[in-house]
Amino acid sequence: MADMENINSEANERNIVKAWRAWRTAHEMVQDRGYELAEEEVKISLDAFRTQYTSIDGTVSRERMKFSARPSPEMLKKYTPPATPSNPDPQPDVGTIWVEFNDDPSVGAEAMRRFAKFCSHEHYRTGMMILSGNVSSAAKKEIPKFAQWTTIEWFLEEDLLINITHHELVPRHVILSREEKTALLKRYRLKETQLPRILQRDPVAKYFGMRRGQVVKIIRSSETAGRYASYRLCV
Amino acid sequence: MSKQPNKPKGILKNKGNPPPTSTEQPTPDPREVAIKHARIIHSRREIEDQISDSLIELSRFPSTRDSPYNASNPAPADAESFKNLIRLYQPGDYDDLIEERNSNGLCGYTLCPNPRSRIAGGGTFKLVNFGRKDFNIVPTRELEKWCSQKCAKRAMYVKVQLNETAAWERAGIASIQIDLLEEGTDTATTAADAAKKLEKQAENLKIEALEKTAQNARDLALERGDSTENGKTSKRSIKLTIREKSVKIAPEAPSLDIDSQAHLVTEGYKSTFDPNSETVSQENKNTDKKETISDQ
Ligand SMILES: [Zn+2]
Repeated sequence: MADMENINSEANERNIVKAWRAWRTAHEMVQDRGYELAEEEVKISLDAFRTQYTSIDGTVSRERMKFSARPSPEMLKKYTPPATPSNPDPQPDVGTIWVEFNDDPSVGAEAMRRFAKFCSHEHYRTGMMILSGNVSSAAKKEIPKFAQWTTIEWFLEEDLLINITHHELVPRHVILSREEKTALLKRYRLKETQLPRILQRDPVAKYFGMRRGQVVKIIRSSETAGRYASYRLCV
Repeated sequence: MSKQPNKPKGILKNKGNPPPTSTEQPTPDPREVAIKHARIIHSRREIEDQISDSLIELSRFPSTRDSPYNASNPAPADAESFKNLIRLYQPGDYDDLIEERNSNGLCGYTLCPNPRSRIAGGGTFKLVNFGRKDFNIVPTRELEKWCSQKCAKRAMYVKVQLNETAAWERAGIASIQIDLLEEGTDTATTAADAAKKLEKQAENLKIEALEKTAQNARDLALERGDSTENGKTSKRSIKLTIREKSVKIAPEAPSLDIDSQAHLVTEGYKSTFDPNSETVSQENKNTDKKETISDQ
């Protein structure tokens, strides 16, 4: 019996650590995208996480793990289309992001629809779900239906246990603003289709929430050339 | 290189002939065409939404789970609404429904109230019917979709009746009927039902004929350049006015002309050769020249 308890508490401990790491990566991701988050929110220690997000019986309560973040002024500027005569006061196409954790074994169309409805109703421009189970194909079909109001993204918790952009083999990725993109195309006399491409479902593109048509600058360090930058268009 | 960067020169040879402009045919108002197409897309979207709504509804079926009813004997109301809702599904949608039910923890067959089975132990494959004739090795994932093999059979019986054609093309056809497995086997015994079956067959034949005529009409519409909307061909809007030619002289039977050139006349027109044309053979040209000379 004591053995059983030991195994249980060990599994529970592992579960807490997993949730904590996913929580940190999610915060880093939201921060790296340009949303405003305080440093102490991002770098929460395991103990602080434990006191805040576990129930009395010591298990993680993922329903409590939810947060929202507002875009920083720089991010707003980056995502605001240039003013045109017909649209003299353009609105930025980013807004508050809503992040939720979910430990259901699988997410169906109904749950996805409820989440998307919640996000559009509360005027969150981006809704992020971090899941323990998989998403059914009918649920995936629900996402584009709400594209007009809110962008729904989902990640598997196990994919967020480490932050891939911190890996030494992943070079630095910087998303270009509209002006930077036009300047780049002008400088090299390129059409955007002449750039190399990156898929929207690429792990790093997903991390930054890249949209079609955005250009990412990839800065690699090279032994011979010092730094070497290349550009990719998100498709 | 001082040219505008957004107009690069193609590396392919310039053929010199620009693509045919559509000015030859009377072009319909582009706005109207756009609206028409938007309507078509809109109605398709509506049907797709209808399917995903019903998918969510069916993923919680059956609504009556009381003891007399089970997968082989479903509540009539449930069976009826299942058969109604499933009509527009494509096999792919049906697979989605099974997945959706599984993610709700239910057996994949829509009318089954049991939870899906969970096979203990790991392994991606399982042996079924070990030591029997119908022994098989099946992926565990397949087995876990259902509560029992009977339900798998029932669900597949429905699936094979579904149609690959897009839902919006079938939306109007009311006679598409889906049968459930038990219904078919039970009713075949009595004579009255045999008659019913015959009737159904006849109806199926009728449906086939209907589908064929619909297909023909669609092909014809495509040939004519008509657009179709919801499977129905829209009416062509061409104004026809029949104008009679006024008759001035009494009709006359054709007769041989004096110069006997009538055989060269096609519908009253005599084709001529251009003497300078290269397609006219050299001999012909020579004779033409001689004639002109002799004329002078
Ligand atoms: Zn079943």
